[in-house]
Amino acid sequence: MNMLDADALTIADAVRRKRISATEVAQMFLQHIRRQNPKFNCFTFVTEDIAMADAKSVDAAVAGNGVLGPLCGVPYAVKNSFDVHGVQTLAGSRINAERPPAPRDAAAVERMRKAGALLLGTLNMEEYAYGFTSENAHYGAVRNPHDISKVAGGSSGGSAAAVAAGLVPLALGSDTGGSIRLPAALCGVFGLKPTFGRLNRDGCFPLAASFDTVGPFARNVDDLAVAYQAMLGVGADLHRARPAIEHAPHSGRREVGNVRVATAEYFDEYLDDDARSAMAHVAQALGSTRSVTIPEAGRARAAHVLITAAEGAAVHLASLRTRPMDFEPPTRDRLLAGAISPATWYLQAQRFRRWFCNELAKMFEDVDVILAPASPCAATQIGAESMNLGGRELNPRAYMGMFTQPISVAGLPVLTIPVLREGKMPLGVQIIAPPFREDLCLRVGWALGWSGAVHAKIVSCGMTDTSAARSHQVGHQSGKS
Amino acid sequence: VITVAALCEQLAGDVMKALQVDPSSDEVIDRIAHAVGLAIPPDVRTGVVLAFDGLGKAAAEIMDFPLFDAESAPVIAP
Repeated sequence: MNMLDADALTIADAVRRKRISATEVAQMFLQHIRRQNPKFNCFTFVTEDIAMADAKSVDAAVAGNGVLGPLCGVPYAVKNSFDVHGVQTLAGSRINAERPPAPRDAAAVERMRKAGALLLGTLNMEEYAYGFTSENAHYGAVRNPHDISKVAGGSSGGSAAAVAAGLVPLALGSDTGGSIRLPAALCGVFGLKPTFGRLNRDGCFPLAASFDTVGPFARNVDDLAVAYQAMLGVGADLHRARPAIEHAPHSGRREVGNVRVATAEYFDEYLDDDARSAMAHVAQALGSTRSVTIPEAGRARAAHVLITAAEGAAVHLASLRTRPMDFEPPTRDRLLAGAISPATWYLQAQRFRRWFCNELAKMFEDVDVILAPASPCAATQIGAESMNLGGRELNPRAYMGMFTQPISVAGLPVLTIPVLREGKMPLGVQIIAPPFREDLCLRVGWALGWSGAVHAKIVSCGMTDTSAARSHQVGHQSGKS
Repeated sequence: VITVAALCEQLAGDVMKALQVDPSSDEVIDRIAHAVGLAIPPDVRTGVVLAFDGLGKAAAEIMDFPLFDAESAPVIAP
């Protein structure tokens, strides 16, 4: 029984009904990863021992008629900024490779294991999550499965690309300024950035504490919703997850109904024709003719840039003092600049953030959901130093996230949906809802998927291509013993 | 009258100016770096100054934005 083309819930159903064992599923995907990963450079460690131990537990529960989680037997992988017991938390850096393996799992990994998911490995990313392309000088660039000469988007590029390449049906990433939304869009899969503070990020290596949020990638909205629900819970860290779920996602709802949808207007001059038509396609599918203006989006992006630089610098100050040359140049330069920036800049940015949150809350008095581009254009070439947007030459690593950064400042939940066009690279649209209304994002996403207006594009490489296996260079980590 | 935004731009500009005069000078950037225990390696100085200039421009966008006292910076409650 071939599960490589199946979505997460189909796999869980097959395992639950004993049509295939979790061990067989794990072996199937591990073999697929060994053969196909070298093309895409998604994985930095394949946690075979952990996957097989997870699978054994699930199979024992199935055999003993024990309690089965909603993701029983479903393979997944995590951005290598998530702690995994026995594995080094690289966070895309050379510096962290000298640290000891993590002593315990991140909260999200614990939750996924309780739901029955099988951890297959850790995934490549931008160094310290500080960028939008996942071009990593230490571990190589993540390659976009739809065109391996192009970037996957970042910083959770390995997570999005692993799902798009069919290496796993589910993956976890984190989003500080667009790091889930952007790679999901550029790789043609679904991604959910929950409300800031909704999910426990304990055990996830930080970039900027004011914005860091963990979330899932998947090939459809059903899988995304189940993974999101599996990770809900109260956290033990200072940044406590919000426990109250007032509006649980309801998978039975397949229509938009009376949800009021509007299109956001900001940075329009930077949007290329393809991204503009992707927005129009989704707005038309939802019957939306209304538009709203995001107030002071430019200043919101400026506040995001300042807060991220200052908070990121604080995280890495010790390494910046002792070994600055071990960072990638773009990461190092921005962190050093953040370390010497005046406190008044940071505090004014935080004050502006409060104002911006209040203004967006007023906007949601008249609309329920806002549509916005996920990126100004499709994936750029790996190594491109600039892209032309609105007649200006801009660096993709910094500017690809211009449509996602302002939304991060308000901490809103966002579902990124893929928009596919014949013969062209994928694009994405953000579905933005008020704080803690992930259910609205998912409801609109379900409706769009159900109508056929949007769907993910998975590059299935099959099991017969052995040429890639010979050049296989993925590290293997024994993990838990 | 000089605005706070203009001062931000000036601060970033001063660093650039100092560099144009003498890239190894112990001017603004080095003094601030020293205060937080950092030394900017000479061969990465240009990149750091460009990044700092970018932050200065971002700060200039928000420093004069009118905010009320109620929108002050977050306070940690016990």
